[in-house]
Amino acid sequence: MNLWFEKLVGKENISSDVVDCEVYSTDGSQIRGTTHNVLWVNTAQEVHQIVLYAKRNKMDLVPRGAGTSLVGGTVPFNSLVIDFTKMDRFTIKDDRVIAEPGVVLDHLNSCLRDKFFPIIPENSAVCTIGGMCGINATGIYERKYGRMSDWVEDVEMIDGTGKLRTYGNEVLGTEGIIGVITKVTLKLAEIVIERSMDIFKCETIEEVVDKLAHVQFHKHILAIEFISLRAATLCGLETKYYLVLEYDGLEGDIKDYDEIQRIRAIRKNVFRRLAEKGFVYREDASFSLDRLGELLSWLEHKGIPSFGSVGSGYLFPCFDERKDIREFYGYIKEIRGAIGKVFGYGILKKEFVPDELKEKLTLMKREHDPHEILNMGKVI
Amino acid sequence: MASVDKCILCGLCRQDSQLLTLTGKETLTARGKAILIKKDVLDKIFYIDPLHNSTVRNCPTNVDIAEEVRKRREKMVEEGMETVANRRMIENIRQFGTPYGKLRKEEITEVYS
Amino acid sequence: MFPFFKKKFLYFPGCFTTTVLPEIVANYEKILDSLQIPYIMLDDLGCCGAIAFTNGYKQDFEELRGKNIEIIKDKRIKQLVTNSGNCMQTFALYYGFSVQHITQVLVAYTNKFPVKFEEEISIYDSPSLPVYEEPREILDALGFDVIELEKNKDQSLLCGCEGGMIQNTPELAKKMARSVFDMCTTKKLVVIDPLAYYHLRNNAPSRLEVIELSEVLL
Repeated sequence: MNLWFEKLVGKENISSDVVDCEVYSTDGSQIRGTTHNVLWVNTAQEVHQIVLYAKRNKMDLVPRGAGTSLVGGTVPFNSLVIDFTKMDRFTIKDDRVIAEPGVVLDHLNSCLRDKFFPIIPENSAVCTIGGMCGINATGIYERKYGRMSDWVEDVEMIDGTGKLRTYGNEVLGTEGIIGVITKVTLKLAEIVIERSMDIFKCETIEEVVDKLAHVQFHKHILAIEFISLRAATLCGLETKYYLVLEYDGLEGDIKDYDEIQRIRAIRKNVFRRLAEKGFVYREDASFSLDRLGELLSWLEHKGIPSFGSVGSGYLFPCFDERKDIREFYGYIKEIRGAIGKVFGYGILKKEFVPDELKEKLTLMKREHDPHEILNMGKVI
Repeated sequence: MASVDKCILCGLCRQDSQLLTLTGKETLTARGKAILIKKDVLDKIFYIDPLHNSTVRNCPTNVDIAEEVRKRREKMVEEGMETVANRRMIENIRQFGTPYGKLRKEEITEVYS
Repeated sequence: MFPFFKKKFLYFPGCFTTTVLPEIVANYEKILDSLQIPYIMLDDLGCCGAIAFTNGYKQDFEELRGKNIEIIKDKRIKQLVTNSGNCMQTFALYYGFSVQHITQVLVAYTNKFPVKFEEEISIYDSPSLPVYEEPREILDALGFDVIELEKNKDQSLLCGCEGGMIQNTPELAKKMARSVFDMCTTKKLVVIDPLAYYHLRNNAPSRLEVIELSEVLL
């Protein structure tokens, strides 16, 4: 097998070395799987040949970008791992970008001038376009810009039958279980020229909920970010609940560019500050706004710091011990919230896949990967 | 700064990894090395490392990867697994007090860092 | 006359500079002498041990350190000055001595340097040598227009001479050097750390002249 792959991708792009297999056996979820072969791909043609080979030989394939999945989306189970890091080329054509799956988001945006790609997850400095398509990523500006599927025009994908085809955005969010993406056409947004911010420091949860209800439908809001009292304390901020509003206009009181950047940096560093204090396990909770108050009270009572895009209905509670997370899951189910809408489902969150989505993915899996060679054990 | 026990495999070190940029290989990132150290692996891969914490500038748990890799090299030396070039270097230091021994500038064919 | 230094410091170029770049040592001796800065050098000091330490030879490092500390204390030296980033960090962190980089000495004498250049130059900040302002002040005093690299100072790129890569992974070390050159838009690149200077000079493209600071000071 190795000789065949060597001929396809070159000796330097295949490894069965213990060190490579160890490293590629895990991802951001810290779940350990197993792999005996890692391939680094450079072209769609190579990927196509690999999928056809895997189909003939009934092998499981795990496509991998940055490997930052928090839910085990790229953990192999005796699978062949395909690393897309080297497929990082893109071309810009007016208000479109044609990108290979290994393109890193921040790098893409740093190369654009009057436009930008507006889906910006927390780990935009490392996450790849392919991975973002896999989980139909969202970002802090979901209120205005929506999710990945709103900005993907088409996707070139090789499915588990070995067919290379162009799809619409209906394949986003399938977490690599129906096909391997080789190219994505992205739509670009106009750069927001005028920005401003407001910061509300609230004494109580009730104040947070009231304020949110008050500003929720303001038409120029780009993002409404929240930092809980517990999180603020741990981060060395004033002991308050924070709501940070960002506008695509000059409505906010804070208009100075440097000050806006400073506040953005504080917000971006919240998880880092929490992780330094041992709160390293991040969850993604979605909720309806009428249950936000209850959720925040429960978290404060338990001493669990949280932050998130409450304007889009997401919160990221952070735990210092995995064992406490089960209780949280139970509570989320109680308030009819959801888990997995931001980080995906992978292996860890399979129990939270909504029935409708499970049904849809099962049908797609049957159609596009009837031999089950793609990303075994994930999502469904 | 922290030991590799604190590495949460978030992958944020990828953004500052020049070795990743040059090779595309996760194994050469700080996260890759941390995974291997956690598994108590001894391998020449630990000599493919600049031993500098610029690669963990954005690490949320401040892993001191440079020190961790350096300590791994100590273990490699204990097991007699150092590189051939390093062996030459240390033999010179032991014999002459410097890595270049008694060589003059024009005789030097190998430098060390 | 020269009020800056009343007591002699130990000028320790480091074994790399002494053996592989003796002309650089000679340059700095000339510069220090011409500025009448009092210093001594000690032939019986061995390698500071930095490369033994980083490559895992802890016992060897401790032996070297012990011997060197004895010699330095015996001569009652309180201040060390060096060219090398590795030596500087080692003396400061593991020997516990007060140590400066040679540019931090020379910067006090910028009024003595003639303005003799009128061209652009870039400067490479070696990550193992976090001394940024003094070399720039010196270059400025000489008349250079310093064009900053896209990644500079504490965001500077590694050049491939770090952590033993120069001897253990030479091909990768060369590729890392190229990453530095790719950032450079000027025809001249000045490098302060001697190991980085050597490595970059040996791998520089023909369009670029890599210079050690002393070469423009003399």
